[in-house]
Amino acid sequence: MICPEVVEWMHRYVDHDLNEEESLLLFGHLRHCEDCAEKFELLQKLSAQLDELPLVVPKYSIVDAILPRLDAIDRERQEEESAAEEMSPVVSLPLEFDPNRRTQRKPSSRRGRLYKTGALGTIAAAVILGIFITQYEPQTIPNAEMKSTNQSNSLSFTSSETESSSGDQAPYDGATMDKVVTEDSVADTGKGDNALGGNDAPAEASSPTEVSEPVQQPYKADKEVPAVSGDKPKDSNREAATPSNSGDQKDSNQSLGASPSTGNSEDVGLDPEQSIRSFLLENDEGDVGTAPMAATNHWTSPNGIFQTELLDGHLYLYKVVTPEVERTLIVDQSIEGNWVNGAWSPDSKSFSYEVELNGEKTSYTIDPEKAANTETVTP
Amino acid sequence: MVEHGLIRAAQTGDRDALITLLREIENDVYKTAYYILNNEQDAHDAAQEALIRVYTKINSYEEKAQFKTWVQRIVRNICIDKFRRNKPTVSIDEHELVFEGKESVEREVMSGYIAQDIREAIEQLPEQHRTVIVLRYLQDLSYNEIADCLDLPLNTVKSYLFRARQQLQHLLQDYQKGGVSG
Repeated sequence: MICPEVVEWMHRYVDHDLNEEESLLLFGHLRHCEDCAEKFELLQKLSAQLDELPLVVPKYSIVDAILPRLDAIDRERQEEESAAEEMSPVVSLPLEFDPNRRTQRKPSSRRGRLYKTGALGTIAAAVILGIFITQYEPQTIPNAEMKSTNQSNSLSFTSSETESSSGDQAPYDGATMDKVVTEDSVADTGKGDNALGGNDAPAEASSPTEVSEPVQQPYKADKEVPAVSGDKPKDSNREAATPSNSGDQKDSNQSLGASPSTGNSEDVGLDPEQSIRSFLLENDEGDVGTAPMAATNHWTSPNGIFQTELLDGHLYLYKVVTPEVERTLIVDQSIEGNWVNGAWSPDSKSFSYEVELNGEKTSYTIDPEKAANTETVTP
Repeated sequence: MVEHGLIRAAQTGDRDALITLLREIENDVYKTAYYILNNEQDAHDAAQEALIRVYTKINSYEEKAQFKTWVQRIVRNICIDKFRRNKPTVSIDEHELVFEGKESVEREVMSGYIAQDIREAIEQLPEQHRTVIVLRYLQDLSYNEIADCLDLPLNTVKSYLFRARQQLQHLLQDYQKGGVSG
């Protein structure tokens, strides 16, 4: 080894950078070279001093001193993140550029976190919205006005929901239960009592939703005039219009035609119901006895005193004793053939209906007063 | 040695972990700052800045690198900025005058004639050399770690270190011969 090389090896030695073999070579040289040996000694001495440099500690905790500033940074970040969520999640936090670095590291994980936060926020919002929409089951309200705009329904639903709901839970629960019950009642109006009974509770619970109310309508002494209560103007009309699939010229129909214009958000909010109702009505036309009672087979006389129901091939005529409470069966008329349509006369003195048998249509009329006076049928 | 689990927790948003992390590295940060800047107040300022930077940039640390190296790099960069800002024009005379005033305070803190000499000698070194000495002896970094920290080639680090030691020897000889220190 020559001396210049040795000097380097000396330095490396004090830095523990020599392996065993190299160290042996170094010491071998030092044994022979006094100059180098002297240098080596000085170097080792210096290095020892450097090793013993006193450890200095800060007089006060630096972390404690910066905690307020760290808090401020956190707050700024939160504001940035919430702003980033609303906009596109492309926010790059201020990078402190280090000119001495060769490669600049990007806070990709932080940006990724922002992306995630933004995406999660959007997904969460969408999920919640989806839950609201699927949970809300509009009442099937008999309404001849058929609105088939489902998309606007969901939108309007949302708006009506926010308008009408006092709490998030009540309307939904009421709505869900109402839907179930309504379907039953629509399918089988004969069971309307049960449906009504079942509906009463949720209906009461969710006062803001007019959804529940129409279910009660069938048994209310309804007039075309929405006199039941101020906030249920349409229901009676809707209900009254139920039997008139065939476009019967009834006052209720006409008033129904007028009623939607009176409603505002309620009207809009019930569009889904109307579309469902319209669908069911269409299905039900000409389809009676054997088909499931999906359409309206329930008619109330204009004066509200009598009600007719078509059920299981029988036409039942009731006299209402106490609205929504009690009614008496007056007539039980079995129906042969397929039910075509039925309607009350405007003066409520008769209920006319048409039946098709073997391709032939026959019309019948029932006089409730007469029937009530002549016979009483026990249900 | 800082645990990787603590670092990872800090990176995933655990603020307590991050604060704990800062407390663990606090003294090392201060020590480096102090030896580079040779001034207690400056060292405090620089240490604060460095810790804040660690806090805000914790997610830019990649596990393939040594955490300590990463931290020391931050400290050193801040010290450079501070050094250049505080003492834009450094003449030897001015430096010594200023130096002496602060030294009297620091002499009370530190003990030992030799230590003082060495400290003074270190401060005399050019910044790059000084930093390498500090990282080598005060932070126990290896050649590679120093190279990584300062973004320098390995051979450059070695040459800086060897040169620094030679310079220190000269300076110490001067001191011991009754030189600058007073």
